Amino acid sequence: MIAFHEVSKRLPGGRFDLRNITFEASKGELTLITGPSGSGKSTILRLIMMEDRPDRGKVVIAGSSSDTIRRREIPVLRRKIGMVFQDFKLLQERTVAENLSFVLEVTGDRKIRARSRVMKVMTDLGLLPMQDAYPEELSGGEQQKVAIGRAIINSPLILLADEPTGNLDADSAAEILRLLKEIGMLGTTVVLVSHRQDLLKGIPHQRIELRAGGIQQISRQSIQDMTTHG
Amino acid sequence: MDRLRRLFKETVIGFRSSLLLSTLSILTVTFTLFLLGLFYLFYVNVNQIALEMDRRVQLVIYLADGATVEEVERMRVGLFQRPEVKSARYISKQEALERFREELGEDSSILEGLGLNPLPASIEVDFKEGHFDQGTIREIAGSFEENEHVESVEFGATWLDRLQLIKTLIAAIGTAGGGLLLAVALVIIGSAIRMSVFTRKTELLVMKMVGCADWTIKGPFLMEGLIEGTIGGILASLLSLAVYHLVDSRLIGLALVPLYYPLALTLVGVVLGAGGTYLSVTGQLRKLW
Repeated sequence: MIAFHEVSKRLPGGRFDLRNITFEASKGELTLITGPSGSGKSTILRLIMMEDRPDRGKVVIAGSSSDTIRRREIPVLRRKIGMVFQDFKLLQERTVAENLSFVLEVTGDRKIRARSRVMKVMTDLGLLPMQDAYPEELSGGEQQKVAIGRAIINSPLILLADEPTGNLDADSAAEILRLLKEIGMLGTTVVLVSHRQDLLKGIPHQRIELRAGGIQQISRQSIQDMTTHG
Repeated sequence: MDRLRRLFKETVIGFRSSLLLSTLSILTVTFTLFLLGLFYLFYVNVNQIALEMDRRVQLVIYLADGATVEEVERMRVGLFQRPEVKSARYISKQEALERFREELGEDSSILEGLGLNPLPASIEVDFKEGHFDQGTIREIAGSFEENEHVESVEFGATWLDRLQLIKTLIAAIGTAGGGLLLAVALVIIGSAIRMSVFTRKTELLVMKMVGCADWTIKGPFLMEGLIEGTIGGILASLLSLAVYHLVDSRLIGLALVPLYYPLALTLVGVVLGAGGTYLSVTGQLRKLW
């Protein structure tokens, strides 16, 4: 679903932000990209969204390659990707239900289908009781749930989450991670970016550790590993 | 239909979110185009005056007293052969004196005491409309200056030079000043749109991330800029025409305003609004994430 082949990306100043990165994330796989600030984590997300193109190597997302995709095809690709931000990026003047329907509205979905889709996502994520509330009336955890709802409303193949628990308390963070894991189990490829290496502790996942633009280590934690190590 | 409705809805939201700047944009476009329009109308008038003067330009070749009929006839035929010459009329010394007497009217008695006619004979040359240019007239005048049968040649060179200078100055000031004003208008419209983008940053980021086509995102802003430019253009046309007619009716008679003028000024407003917006919004969207 996501493949980076020897990808390098320079910053505008000429310094390498990513150097010779190669990794893959398959359908339904949960991947954690971790590393300190400035290690290139956000650049990987920008490359997946095709907001940036690699200077060397290629990125293949859901069958679309960075070296052949045309500018006008990028919005079509992005409809297969959902994005969650650390600061939620909810529209403050819209209710929870409106925040979800906004995506379908701007991508031209039919109203009736949109309404039923919004209802389904709100039911699945437990957002129904707060559907008429505005973001400022919700807790951080609830706001992030709405943001996840918005990201998955188009049934994306890939879900990207940039520090999704960065602004949350421990309980809310655990709830959000449980949700992301469930979304992965339903077949969506989930990529999380975080400076915390232990973010997915207890959850099977692929972990890519970045350091100064290069991959320091790629490791996989399976259910067996977790049971063996207690 | 849904898309169109959305486009209008978003445009209204855009206007509301930066009402002050939108108003400022409209006023800037109005002011800029108003000044440009006045400049243009002023230029049209000066041009009109210049054309009128060109039409009236006459070359007068004053002949020496000893010039024979044959010499004069040769000069006239030579002039006639030039394509730009409409007529070359010989005015005898006697005819010149008669004219002078008519011009003096009641004071013509002063001529009575003169024993001989002091006025020279001349050839008056008129030019065909559309064939006149200063280079040609100077060249013709030059070709007679050295002629021994010619005393002097006159064609109002100083006036023609001054008029040409005024025309050049107006064109230069109009181009430089107009260019500067247009650039300022472009920057202000760009700032208004930048502010509009800024106040709706999250919404636009979400739109971009969920796969909205570029034109869906840019559309409402372009529409906003287009409307601002159009309103500014129309207001500028009306204002400048009002001032023009006021001057025309109260002060001096002016040349007719070209029919395309209001349309052209509005069109400049449209291009200004849409162009400024396009440049600004394209740059801003790249910086969203």
